[in-house]
Amino acid sequence: MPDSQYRRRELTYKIVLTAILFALAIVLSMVENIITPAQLFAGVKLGLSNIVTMYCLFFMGVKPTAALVILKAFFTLLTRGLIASMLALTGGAFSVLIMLLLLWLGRGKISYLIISVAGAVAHNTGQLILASWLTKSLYTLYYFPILLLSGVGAGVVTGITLRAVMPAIKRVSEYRPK
Amino acid sequence: MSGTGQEVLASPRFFKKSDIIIILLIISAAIGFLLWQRAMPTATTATISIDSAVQRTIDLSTAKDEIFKIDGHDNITFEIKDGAIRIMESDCHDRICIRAGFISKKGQSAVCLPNRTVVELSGDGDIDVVIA
Repeated sequence: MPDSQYRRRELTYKIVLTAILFALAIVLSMVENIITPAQLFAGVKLGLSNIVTMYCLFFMGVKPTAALVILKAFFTLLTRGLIASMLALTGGAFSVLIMLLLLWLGRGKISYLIISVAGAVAHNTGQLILASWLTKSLYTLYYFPILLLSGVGAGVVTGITLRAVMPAIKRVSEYRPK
Repeated sequence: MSGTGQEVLASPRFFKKSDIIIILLIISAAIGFLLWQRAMPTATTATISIDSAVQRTIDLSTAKDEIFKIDGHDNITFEIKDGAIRIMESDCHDRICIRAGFISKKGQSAVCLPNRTVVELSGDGDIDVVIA
């Protein structure tokens, strides 16, 4: 297959897959809202859509993942308003940055589970810093320990879930142009 | 060459025994923080700010129990009781601020982000006016 045709198919594959992952992320966050009707504390959530973000980062690279974060934030903007979308954007950006950093520096020695936990904690921390900046109040940072704990919990759960569905997801790569 | 940059990211394992230690360390750190916060002295001053502008400052040690709103901001109702303060009612969607309940320790805060309202507790008075 000529190189340009291959490149076009590869790009189509990536665009379609990113779109599907985006839809999946939305569905997961909706499911999460249904399962957790009453939020306990600010920012304490399961973060199921991070499963999709992690898959994207681990198996598709940085650019689709960045697109995913931006798309999610935009969707949040349309559905929940400006502040929620800012929170989604900073949380997602922090999370991806930290996970990327760990993947690069860890050189394969840092396990996926720890990366998942770090991503979840980074997500919460980014949002906490934004909340602190929005309220111009350092006292907001007192929420940090609670977010640390919930980040660890969420990171473990999403990491295990990703591992569990990995065999099914692997089959997607069969559609990749060769 | 597909050029996704994927080749740069090494493939780690999913789980290592040392992960348990790391997670336990993080949990201990978090519990440590929490204990340190609990040990903080009770606050004497509550500062209510909306849009980063201080609206009202309250001396908790002398304040009488009351339920009030800030002039011009009808959407949030506060309550002072036994030297503690809380956000009682709010028109925000999440209602996280109400869930936080009464706060009384130095450094604690109650925040309603959509309404950009913050109640902060501090120890010593750097206040000009006291409304009890």
